[in-house]
Amino acid sequence: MVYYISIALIGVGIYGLISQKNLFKHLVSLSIIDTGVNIFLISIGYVEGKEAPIYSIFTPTANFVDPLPQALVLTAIVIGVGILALGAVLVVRVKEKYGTLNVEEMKDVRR
Amino acid sequence: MRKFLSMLLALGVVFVLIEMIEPIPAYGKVDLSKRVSEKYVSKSVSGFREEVAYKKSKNLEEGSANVVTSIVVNYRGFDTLGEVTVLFISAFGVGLISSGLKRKGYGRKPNFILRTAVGVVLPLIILFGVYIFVHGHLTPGGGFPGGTILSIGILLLYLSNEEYELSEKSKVLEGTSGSLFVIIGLLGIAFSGAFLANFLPTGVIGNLFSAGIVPIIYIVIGFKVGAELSTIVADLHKEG
Amino acid sequence: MISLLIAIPLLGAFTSIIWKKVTDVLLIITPIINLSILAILRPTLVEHLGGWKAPFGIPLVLDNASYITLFIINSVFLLLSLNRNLFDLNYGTVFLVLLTSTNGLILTGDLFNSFVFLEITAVSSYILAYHNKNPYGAYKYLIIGSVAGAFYLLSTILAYVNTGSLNMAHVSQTLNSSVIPAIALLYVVGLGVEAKLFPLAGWVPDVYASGSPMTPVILGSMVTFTIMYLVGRIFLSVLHGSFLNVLYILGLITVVFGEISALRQNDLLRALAYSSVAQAGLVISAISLKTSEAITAGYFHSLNDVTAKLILFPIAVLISKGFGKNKIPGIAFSIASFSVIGFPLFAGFRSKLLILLSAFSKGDYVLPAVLLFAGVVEVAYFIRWNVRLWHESEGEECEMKKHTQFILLALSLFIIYIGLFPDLYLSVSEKIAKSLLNVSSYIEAVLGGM
Repeated sequence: MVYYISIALIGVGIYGLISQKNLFKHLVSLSIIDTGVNIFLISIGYVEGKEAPIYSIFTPTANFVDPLPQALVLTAIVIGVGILALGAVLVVRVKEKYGTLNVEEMKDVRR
Repeated sequence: MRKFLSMLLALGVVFVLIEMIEPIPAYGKVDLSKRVSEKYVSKSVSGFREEVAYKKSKNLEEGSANVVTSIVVNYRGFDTLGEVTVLFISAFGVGLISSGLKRKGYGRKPNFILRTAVGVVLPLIILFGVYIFVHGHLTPGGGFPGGTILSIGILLLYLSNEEYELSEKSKVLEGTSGSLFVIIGLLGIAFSGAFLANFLPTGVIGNLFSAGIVPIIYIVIGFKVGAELSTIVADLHKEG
Repeated sequence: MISLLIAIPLLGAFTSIIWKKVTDVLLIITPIINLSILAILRPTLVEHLGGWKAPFGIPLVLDNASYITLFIINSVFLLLSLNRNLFDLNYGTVFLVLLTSTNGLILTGDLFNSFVFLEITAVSSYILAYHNKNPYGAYKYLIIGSVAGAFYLLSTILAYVNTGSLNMAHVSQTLNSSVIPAIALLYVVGLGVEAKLFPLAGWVPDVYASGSPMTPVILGSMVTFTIMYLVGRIFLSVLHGSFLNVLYILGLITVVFGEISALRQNDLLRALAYSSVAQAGLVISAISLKTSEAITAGYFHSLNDVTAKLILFPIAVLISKGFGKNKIPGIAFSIASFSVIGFPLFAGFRSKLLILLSAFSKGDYVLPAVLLFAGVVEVAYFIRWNVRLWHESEGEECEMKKHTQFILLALSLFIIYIGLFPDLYLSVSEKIAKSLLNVSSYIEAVLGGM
């Protein structure tokens, strides 16, 4: 079921966040967690046998899945993109300041 | 050792989450009449109920054929204002943090195919992006994907030319579009008594000129998102 | 009219990116406009945005609690923008967006809308955390703050699936009590990062102690108080005050952890950062006792902490060489540190005494014990820092402008005034507490007899 896939993605993201030492991999794990939550959010709106929520030639009267989670996920994806961009430029600055992206090596440089 | 502990923690979180989704109805078997979306779909939030039919119903309370657009821009338009603000402040932050860095070169001359194809493909990309956000209330898409496609055109310009720099006018476009969005909301107070109220007539559902202020807001959002993502693309091309 | 409180700072932020020169004028005018709008409006007013009634649209709720919190936040912002030398004006747009988002967090009556405004506040804080060339601290804050945001969104989804709407009042009315533990646990993770709870407070020292004079001042006063309001709103009004035991235990562990870590620091800024963590833990523990008296005590203590940190952080950053030649900031610093310790005659004593009394009247003895332990530890390191700073008499003239020094001295004399006559802060906190606990009138105001 789709719910279990999204929870597995969240688990993979949390594993990556804690066990990896490279800062860029933390950013990728954050992106995986966001993707997992978005997939969960969309999948709770599905109704079997119904169509996409747009009034058109193919569906002139209402026969739709739940449109509200789709609107929410639009916002959540955009927020995730904004945070990802900010994280990427911070990684550039960290590399420029410390010369390395490895957490262990940075501990020696900072002390 | 660290990998083992983090695996335990991740498995623990996964088990807790699986416990939490027990009471959710099964996948695909949702009863829509228990949720607020039922009123959004039948466009009867203010109580007046009428069968909605494509290209037939006139002057409904909310006239866009794309129900997701009607939720994003009209019923929950304040969330969209917040989302536009998130993009705005993160684009501003990227510009602020990367100030003082210079344009990074790629180290080799761009491919001949790339350089000639840009001249042909770029106008098509911009046209496609504008089409998507102008028709946001009729077809899937809207301001956000349309703006993203515009910024991909700018990325293509960056990839094919080592000297290209995005001009400062994109900031003016960004600020103006954002102010226009807030001013449309304030006009809603002036004409209808509520912030972001729909004060233009809604017309026949399914036509291009319908749904009141929804296409106008999506055009504004399309240009704003295009300018912001182009700024982010430009600033991420820098290095110290 | 309520939406103007959010629309006007946002319009200011958008125009400040077109003309940079207008930023410093906007930074002063915007809170003055907001305060004058607040002076006209009166509590318990609900504005339905777009004209759509709740629970289908988004309501902005101005009840007693949000009215007072808005007043406090805008006044603090006005106070900060008058001290221009602490601020880097390149960040002017970020301040305006932060004002927008804290106002929005306080006013909103919808769960997903609060998620959006929480993310705007978080992104502005990440940018402010970068100030003074601190990319690693800002990055750690970004990662852990975004994971918390994802968990906040997850709990909002669970509330939607269970009740069918996203409106705070409607959810509070129709939430099935069997899912409350799951939703509350996710909210604890979601809000615990910003509320500086153990074990999610690892970002605080790196962000607050970066040497920047404006980051800890803004984050430790405006954002912290808004988050305390949001914790009260979600756990007391929406979730009906259940599952508060976890917050209580986490808060107590935070206090112990914060005070012991502060004692071991050799750097004054990091010690103050850990002290902020400990005070936040104390406020959360007091709020989680759920009686009206305890919640009043919690918000009173939070107000005192905000006032004290407004004084302590700028002085600690700008005057690290000693108080020999800088007598006025030195007096302000000492008064503020005595208030944090809780000496009688200062404001901190009143709030700590109230927390003690409300815990005793509920029959609880763990919180008073932890509070007294924390007080002893605070005496140890604050007195040590004061002695160390007052003894270095060969320090040079400081870089703080005269009017900033006088504003800080006036704030510290205000602390003594509150210590003698606590009615101003006390009545304000009592109104917040009573309004947060009064769930039925909140539901009635928003849903309007639906």
